[in-house]
Amino acid sequence: MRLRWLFLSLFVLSVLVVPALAQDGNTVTDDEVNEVAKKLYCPVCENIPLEYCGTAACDDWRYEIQLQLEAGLSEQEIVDDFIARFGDRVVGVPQDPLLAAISMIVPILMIGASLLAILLLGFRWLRNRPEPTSVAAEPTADASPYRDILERDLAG
Amino acid sequence: MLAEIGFLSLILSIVVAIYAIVVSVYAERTHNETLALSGRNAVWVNFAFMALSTGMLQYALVTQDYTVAYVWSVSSPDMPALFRWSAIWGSQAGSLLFWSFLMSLFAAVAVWLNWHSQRRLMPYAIAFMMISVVFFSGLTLIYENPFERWWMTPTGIDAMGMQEYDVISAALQPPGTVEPSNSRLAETAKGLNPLLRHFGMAFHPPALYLGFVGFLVPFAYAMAALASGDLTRDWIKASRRWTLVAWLFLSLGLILGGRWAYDVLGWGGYWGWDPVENAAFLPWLTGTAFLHSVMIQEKRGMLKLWNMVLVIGTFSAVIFGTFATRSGLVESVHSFARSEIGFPLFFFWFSLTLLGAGMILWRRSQGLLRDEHRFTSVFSRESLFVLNNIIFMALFVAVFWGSFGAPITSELFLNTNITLGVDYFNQVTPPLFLALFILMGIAPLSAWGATSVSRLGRALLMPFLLTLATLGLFMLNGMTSIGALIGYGIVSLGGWVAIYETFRGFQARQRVHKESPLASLRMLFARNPRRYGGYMIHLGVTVIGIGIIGSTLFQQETQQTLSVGESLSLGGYELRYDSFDGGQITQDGRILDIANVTVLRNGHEVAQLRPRRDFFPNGDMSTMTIAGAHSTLENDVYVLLVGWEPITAASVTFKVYINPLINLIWWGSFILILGTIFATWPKEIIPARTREALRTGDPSLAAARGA
Amino acid sequence: MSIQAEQFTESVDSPTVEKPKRGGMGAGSWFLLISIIIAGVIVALQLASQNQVQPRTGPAPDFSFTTFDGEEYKLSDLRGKVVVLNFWASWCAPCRDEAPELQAAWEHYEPRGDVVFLGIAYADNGPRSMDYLEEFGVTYLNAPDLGTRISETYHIQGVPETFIIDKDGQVAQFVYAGINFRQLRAILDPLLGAS
Repeated sequence: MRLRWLFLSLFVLSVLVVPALAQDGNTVTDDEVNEVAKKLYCPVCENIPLEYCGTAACDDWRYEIQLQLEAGLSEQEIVDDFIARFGDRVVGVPQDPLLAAISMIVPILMIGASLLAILLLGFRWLRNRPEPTSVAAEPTADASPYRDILERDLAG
Repeated sequence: MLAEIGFLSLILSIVVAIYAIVVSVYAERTHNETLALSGRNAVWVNFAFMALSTGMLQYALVTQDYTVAYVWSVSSPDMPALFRWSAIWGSQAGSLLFWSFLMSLFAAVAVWLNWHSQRRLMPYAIAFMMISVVFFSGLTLIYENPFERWWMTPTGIDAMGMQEYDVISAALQPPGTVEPSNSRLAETAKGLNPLLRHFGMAFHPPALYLGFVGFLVPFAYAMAALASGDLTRDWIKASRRWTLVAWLFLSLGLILGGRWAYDVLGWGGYWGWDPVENAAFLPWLTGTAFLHSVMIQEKRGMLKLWNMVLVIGTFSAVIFGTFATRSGLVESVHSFARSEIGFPLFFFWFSLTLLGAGMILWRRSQGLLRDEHRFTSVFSRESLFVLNNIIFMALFVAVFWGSFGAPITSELFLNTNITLGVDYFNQVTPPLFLALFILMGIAPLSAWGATSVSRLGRALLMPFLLTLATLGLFMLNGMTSIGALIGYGIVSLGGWVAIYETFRGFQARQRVHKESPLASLRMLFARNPRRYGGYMIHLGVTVIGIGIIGSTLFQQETQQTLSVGESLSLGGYELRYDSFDGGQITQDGRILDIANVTVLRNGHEVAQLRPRRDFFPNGDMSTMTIAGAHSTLENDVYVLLVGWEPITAASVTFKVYINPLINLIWWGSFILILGTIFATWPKEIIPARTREALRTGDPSLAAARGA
Repeated sequence: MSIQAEQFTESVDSPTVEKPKRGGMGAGSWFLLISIIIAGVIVALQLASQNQVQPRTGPAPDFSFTTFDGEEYKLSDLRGKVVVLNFWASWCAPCRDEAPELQAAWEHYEPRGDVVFLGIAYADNGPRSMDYLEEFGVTYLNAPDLGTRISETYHIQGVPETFIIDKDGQVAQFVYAGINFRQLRAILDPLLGAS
């Protein structure tokens, strides 16, 4: 069902292409296209934002975004359209709720775990505080070279 | 002929390294001094062979011997001389050989410097270092042999009666083949990837490799400590300088990578959070944590378990990083071509990590990694360093998850490819980085053992006031964003603490000694290089942090098409398109298209910039977009040539960025490098005569060494 | 015989630490080791899946597709006919070279009725795709590869790539890079001649 809507919109777009080409000057600025392209990644090259990708294919896609903006689509609609056509890899943080959860869950868990660890350690130390061991004295000068010599002498 | 020498040298170096492993372990188990010395010497012999082997490849590159397949694939006759030297790491085979060479070099130097002072650890350390060397050299030899040469095998006579040939590559000359002519091969030589033909690329890979490989030595010492059971400060003392040196090169490599990306990749940024970039950043995170954490073990015998985990984790991250990069584990712009070395690298990483973890747990169960003191106060230096470790680990997990964990999980289990890009990392990492900066401000002022909050507060007063003054400066310059001001404040605090503590030390010296201010400063650093070098590094990090906040939060950009003489304006600057120089041909066969623009501010001409597009018709027909930039301390005006009307260039499309404070990043890096060099400087070198006298117990000489 | 240096430091520096000797590794340690093993297995699986290549023999992976005209099919619907599966994109220069060849080949084989040409547009489903089809007068089935699922199933490394699938749904031939009429005839005629 969604696919049919998609193809309908594609047809509408293609119909718009002709008059758009016939027009001289476009109303959509490069900056506006880049605003949207910033949120997307090149579907073909790896890990390059669509805004910066220099290939001919990316030029085509930026041109498509320009057409879509001229057709009056909002930023979110364009992004959704790209996701439908190219998959979730085309955005920087997945929009699909399950994938977004997986992506964000681990860092959130980690930060939570760290806070928990800090709190627990803090409480443990507060509980164990009774002995303020004076530790002004630095440990005696390092004895390791002498220990080594001793070792070797003993080893024969 | 030389390629064959290189090839045989490589084989011999591996044989010698295997000998070193076996002999060293055996010598340690049976306490056989002669065998231990033999194992030690084998390390040096291994280095000699590796140096010869790598030297042969380098020689082939510099003398343009295109019969060597690797030389043919990464160089060409029209390349500038500098890149002939850097071409050795231009592709997989050569870079693996170079990596093995560096490992061998570090092992040899470690043995040379530390044999006597760390005699207990050395045999096992040698074994672990040589295992690494054997693996990487073996990988090179078996899978990616850079010494393969082109040979021509006759396949038959063609229609005109001429002998036809097929070209094959092999290490040693197969029977019945003929050596091809060097000049013919030179005509078709592939040449270095255009993206690598930049000054930055000559230094970024070796700096990074030195950083990665540098962590081999602390890792080996740690594993040797676990293996031998000597879990005192010995392995820490042995590793300390190595860790600093490795950290220095790793930081330098990361910074150079960022600078190169900024100059050459043409997107106005310096860090893209690409998986391969992150793979190099992960060991930096654990390495920095380790660098700090070892201080606690040295001074108080605590955090032993943390330090073991951090150092072995750092090396494991290094191997994982090289595995992920060279095997194409996840998609990245940096990936080498996919090859068969993926699985061997995986097994090496896996075995090493499992072995390391197993040994740590084993020794822990024996009670050998217990803290020697108790934590007494939440604000004591020990506690703050534990906090430091925790935050670095959290960053590690967050970055790892974003680069590898989530994409792998979703691809394997949900059959969907996802990208976790800048948006993810810019949401997750800033709070952690800010926490680190807060610690950087507080921890240097904390004391061992009990610390009261009020004492800490009093110590912080002056730096805090200085930070407020800095914020005032920002506000005077028009900064109104509260969020940014808080960010700047937190970041600056660490820098001011560093400056203030250095000043206090300087003041103290001035009061006690009658010396010139410069001499005071010099003695301050000479007497305590680690502390004051460390402060300098913190200052560098602060400056970098300010630069990052400025260039990330307040970057302005626009893309517009201009006709000749027309201008655009952005952020108080005007950019005027003057003229176009198209189709310029350079000496090395590039075709340049250059636009001439003028930057104006308040009507005054400030700079003439020449952004350009380089086209490589002889290479792989790729293009490079080189920006023209006007750099000041305040910002960069960064102009890219995006497109132009063919032939006439009557109208040209430019993309312009204003990157505020970005040059602080490079200046801060310079301070950081300088600080690290100071911190690594030897504190005191005991003359050999004094050392000898100490052995024999001569009291007069001991007194002379005195204070 | 070597002295355990550890014993020195413990008794000299820290009289307050008690030391109950724990024997063996606890459950936590085993848990950690097993987690590392699991992580290793996952990474190995990922590596294996990244290293997969295009199918050159064996059953052709099935997939469903919706043509540019809106009709839905599955590859298995075409069982019983020889399928020429061609991956292309409008932004791909070599694809433009092979497009007329493919169209000519289609026109040659269409009357027979037992050959199907199926073009899959890789990462290409906008107005430019339609322009491309119009420009080369393409009349055979074409579908966009939404979400690049089909391309991933066939592990293609780029475009153009062509797979020839025989009547029983087995991959008969894989052609990396562009193909022309002559090559197609050389591959198809034996497959069709057999029946």
